[in-house]
Amino acid sequence: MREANSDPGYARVVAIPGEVRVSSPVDGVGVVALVGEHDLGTVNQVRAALERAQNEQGAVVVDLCQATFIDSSILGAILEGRRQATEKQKGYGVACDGSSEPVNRVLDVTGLRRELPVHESVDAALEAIRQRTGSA
Amino acid sequence: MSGSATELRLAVAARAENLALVRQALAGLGDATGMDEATLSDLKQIATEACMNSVVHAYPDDSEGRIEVRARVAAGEVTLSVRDWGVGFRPRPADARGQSLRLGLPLIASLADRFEVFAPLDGGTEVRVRLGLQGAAEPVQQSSPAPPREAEVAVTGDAARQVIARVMAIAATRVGFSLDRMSDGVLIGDVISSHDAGDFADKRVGVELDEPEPGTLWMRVGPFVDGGAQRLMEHMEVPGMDFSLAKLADRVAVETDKQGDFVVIELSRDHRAAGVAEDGE
Repeated sequence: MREANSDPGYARVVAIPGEVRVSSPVDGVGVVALVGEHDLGTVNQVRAALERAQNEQGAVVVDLCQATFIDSSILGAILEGRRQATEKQKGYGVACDGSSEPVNRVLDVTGLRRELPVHESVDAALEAIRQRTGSA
Repeated sequence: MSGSATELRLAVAARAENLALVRQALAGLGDATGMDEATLSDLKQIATEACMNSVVHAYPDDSEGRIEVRARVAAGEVTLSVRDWGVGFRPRPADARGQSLRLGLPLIASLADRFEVFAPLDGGTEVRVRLGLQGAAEPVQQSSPAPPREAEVAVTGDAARQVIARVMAIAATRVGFSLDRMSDGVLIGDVISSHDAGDFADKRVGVELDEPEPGTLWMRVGPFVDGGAQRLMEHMEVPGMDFSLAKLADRVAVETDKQGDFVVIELSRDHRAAGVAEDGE
């Protein structure tokens, strides 16, 4: 790999390694935040975090607001999380504030923005879960 | 961007952690060529999905293989090829690793202006896509061909006789022709399919079929090259007899549109034998 030099082109190398952060801002809801780029290389981490949040908290919000790239394996993990939540009758929501064009694009092209559905913020997703299940 | 092509060739081991490396290489290519952000974003998404297919499906049992990524930016477009030497595409009832890749190929197809999958002779799979530069934000105007009235068939060479006879027979059956009336249709079909293919545009014997009203079989034969339609009409004359097979039809006419000349033939279920005047030329 070449080191960054004075060529301004290199300043655009902004790969943020995929990171998964789990929190519980509200009792009974686990928020799984995907930060940076996520693909097949991080899907097991994402899947494990979703499973753990569901087992420990019950309801789950997948936060894509800080994600800069997701591929179809991540979409698959999100859909699988929703399937399990439906099966266990637990709350489930997805949040994306629209700040990443690649993430917006993949949600729109696949039709998942409407299908999931996707909320504009974590708070909006929490509110939707609260209204549906009363658990948030 | 200069007028010359800029090419990238990258080979990586088929491992999940290398997908990010592929995206970074493409980002570099995008920067170097001044590619618009929307196209670059789609390019990275497509490359990731195609490489993921190779990682998950081409090399089973965690065996390591080679993935080659080639990208070429030139003349207002970028072409991408992702190649592996794995087991290739095959039907799978379920994915053993639980990876949901059902979205991957449709996603590629949705993002690309052109999308092709090849099975190279020396094994593996190659996915090729084309994206128009600066066009990602403005969807390409899509034009789908008009649907046929009911069915269209165009066939070359010796296959014309068998294909058209069978298509005519099923169409006549659907319209509810008696056996006699079906024979009339098959006779006319034989005249069409045995006519000199050189009289048809592209040497393809073409027939469009419809049932415009119950019990009526409508055929439009062509398009013909200049004079071809007239020669088909003459071909219907039975040698030595003052009779044309066209009289078996309720209506025969030569019509012209922007594609060329056509012979339109209508046969009704309750046609009253020969003697019906043709209104064609």
